[in-house]
Amino acid sequence: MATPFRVRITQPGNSAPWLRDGTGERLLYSFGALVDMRLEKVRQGILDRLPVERSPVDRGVILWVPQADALAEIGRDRIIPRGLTESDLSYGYRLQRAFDSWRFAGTARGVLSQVLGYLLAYTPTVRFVASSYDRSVWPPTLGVTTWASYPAGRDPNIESITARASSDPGQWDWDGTSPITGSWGHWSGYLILYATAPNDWCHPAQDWGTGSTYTAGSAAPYYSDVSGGAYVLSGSYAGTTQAWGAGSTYTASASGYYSDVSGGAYEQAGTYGGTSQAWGVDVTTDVGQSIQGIVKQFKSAGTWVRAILVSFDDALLTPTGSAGSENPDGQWGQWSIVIGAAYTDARAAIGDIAIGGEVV
Amino acid sequence: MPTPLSLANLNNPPTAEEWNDTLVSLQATLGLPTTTWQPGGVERTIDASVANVQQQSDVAASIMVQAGFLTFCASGFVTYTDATGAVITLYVTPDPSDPAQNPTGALGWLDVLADSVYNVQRILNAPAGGALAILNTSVNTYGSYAEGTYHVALPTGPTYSNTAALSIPPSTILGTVTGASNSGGLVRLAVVGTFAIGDYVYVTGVTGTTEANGAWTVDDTDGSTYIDLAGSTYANAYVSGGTVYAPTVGAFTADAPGTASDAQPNTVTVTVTSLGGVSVSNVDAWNGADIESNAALEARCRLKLAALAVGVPGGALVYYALLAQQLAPGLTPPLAVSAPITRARVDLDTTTGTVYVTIANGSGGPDSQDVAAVQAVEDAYDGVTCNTITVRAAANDGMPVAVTIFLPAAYNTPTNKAYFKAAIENYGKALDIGGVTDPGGASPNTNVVPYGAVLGSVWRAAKAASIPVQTVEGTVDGGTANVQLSLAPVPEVAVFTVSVTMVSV
Repeated sequence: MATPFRVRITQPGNSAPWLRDGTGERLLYSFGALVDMRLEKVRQGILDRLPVERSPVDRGVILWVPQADALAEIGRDRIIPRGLTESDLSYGYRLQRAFDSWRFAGTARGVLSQVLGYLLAYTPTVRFVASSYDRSVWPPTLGVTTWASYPAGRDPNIESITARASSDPGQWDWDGTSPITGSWGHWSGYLILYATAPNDWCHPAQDWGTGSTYTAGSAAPYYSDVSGGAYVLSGSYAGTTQAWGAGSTYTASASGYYSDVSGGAYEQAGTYGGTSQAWGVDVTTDVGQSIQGIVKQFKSAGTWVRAILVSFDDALLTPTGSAGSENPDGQWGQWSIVIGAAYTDARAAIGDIAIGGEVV
Repeated sequence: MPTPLSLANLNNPPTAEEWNDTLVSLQATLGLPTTTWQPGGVERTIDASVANVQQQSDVAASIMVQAGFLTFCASGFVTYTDATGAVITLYVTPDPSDPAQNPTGALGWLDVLADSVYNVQRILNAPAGGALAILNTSVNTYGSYAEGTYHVALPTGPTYSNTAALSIPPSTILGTVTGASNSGGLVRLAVVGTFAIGDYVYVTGVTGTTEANGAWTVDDTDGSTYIDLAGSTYANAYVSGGTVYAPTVGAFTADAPGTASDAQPNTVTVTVTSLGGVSVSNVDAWNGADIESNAALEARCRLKLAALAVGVPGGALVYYALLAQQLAPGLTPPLAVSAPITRARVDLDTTTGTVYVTIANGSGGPDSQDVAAVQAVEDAYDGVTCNTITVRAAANDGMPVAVTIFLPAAYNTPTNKAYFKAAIENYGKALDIGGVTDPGGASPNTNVVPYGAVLGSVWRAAKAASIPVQTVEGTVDGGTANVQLSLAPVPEVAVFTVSVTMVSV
């Protein structure tokens, strides 16, 4: 460490003798201290541009990690968002590798790596899957399914490669038998994120009414009583449940209506602020939106990520599973299918997953 | 170990008063009798001077710290009060595209950062220019004129000069026009002579089909009896007359760089250097380029990351589209993009897998030649993809913007009026293809030209130039609400026609 300026300035050769003793020395020392403050600021400002400063002799020795706000700024510069619960050091390492990471943009590996980065400090299994179809026959038949996967526990400090697997015929058929235009295209893909212990970065959404307890009233076993000619609740509820839209605030439009008509269609008139809980999971919508944003930036321009799926069961949505039991069976394009003249949940067969939005 | 400072601490220097307080406090700690020092006394005066010096150098330090981060480097600033009480604002990188902020157009910290970290260089302004046809009907040979000494101009003011030594001999008559007709929309002149496709010709004296008069290249000919005039539009029946000359053709460039000197074909007709019997006209459109703004350079730095990819993320497609004017001349064969592509967006057609790159320049959707050149750049520079990548021009959505600005009479000047008009036009030129989202704005608020932001461009310009505007009113596309832009079948880009009214209050 260099001798501080406030000390050097009062040394022989740097100042007059009468400024090296007594009142003069103290004055000069105080002026030198201000210069040292500014130098320290410049030093920190320069270091804050560097995600991690490691010892050149021993790279395991960390000399400097910028403050969180500086890391966030570097993250903006390099377009690498911070993980949900990621440490400063981990984020610094990933920012240091940003240029390497961007080389893999436009590939499944790039998408998976960056989504995993966002889920840090959790390191769940993540997969990207795509299938081809033989379009020379009608209806097209399922061809090869290709999987790219990172197993759970991936070391976030290195750009490891994905495990690849493929099968022919494939075992991932999203909506081959209930298609929309483009379903059979080779440009479709699906992102699968696992949320299982110990990497349970999210959980299934609460059941309806969880958190509230009902105590029967005098009309039991009936839930209601008649009072003054109207039905009234007989029992009582204790505790609180997740409220609709909690965390989100609606700002009404000037018109006072919830919708306007634009181009012949109804549009939301007011605006929502804040974030509420997402459907099917117990995290807020901004988490899902962030994941979508990362996928959008890192996916190939020609890839249609038709769904982001969250699995709460390691046995589901796997390269070793089969269509219709662990994997989609070709009828997942619609929410429901008709069986025996009744609507049935098209995706219910394999249960414990949540299905998020697409990324075009 | 010193306390780590937050970015806010680093970016915002303390005031001179705060430095003085720190200094006096430190001196007291060192045992100096600071409480006995009198206002105006030697000690306090020295401390105040040191504090002022400290503040000044700290301002410089804060700017240097901010210069390490892209966003701060592009738009950051430091505001402080100097010893005279004046409030000073210093930009980290004064934007060279904004004359109010950077009158000399000097480059700055952002250029250093972009160059050294991202290997991205600012697109500099370039003068408009091209081939000028010079008709000399006299018997004299004029010149030679050394480079930069023969001057011509647009009727509206911008001037141009020759880029190489120029002599102007009498022009040879190639033939006499005997008729005109419509040739696939072009003017076809019946004229007997010797012609070849690509020849420069100068036509004068045609009546009826007057749109034939001017300078052209020959688009088609049988070599001896007719010529089709490239870029012409047939409109009127031929009456009589007309002579076709072989003009002298010289290379000319605008005296001032930038798009203000852009010229449509056959509009540079003023001979500033006046010579008997000499007329001039530019054959093609002359397009210059304005210097890239800080915001555009900042965005391109981030897009460069995507361009590093082995795959083809959307950001890479946008990056190469924006750089197409610089890259196209390096292709084999070389191509040209007449005006810089300033906006691009990427859309995937999920039904076909085709990736569309929609592009626009400062004037809106570019012409087919520019689109073809950008397509060639994308084909050459992007990685391998199994999708079809198709470049297309944005669809122009022309919209009048009429703004009334109320301000003190002293500021109601033609210069300020032109300044505000340019500010609104520049806002329109930078607006994304397909519009933007107007958070919290009244419906529609997605894919719109935001009404408030258009008027806001006046307020921002007023603040930058310290013009005390009191009220801004106006309409965009005839209304006072956001204007929706369509994304299908081709995304639209707003093309403003701006009118400004200044009212003294």
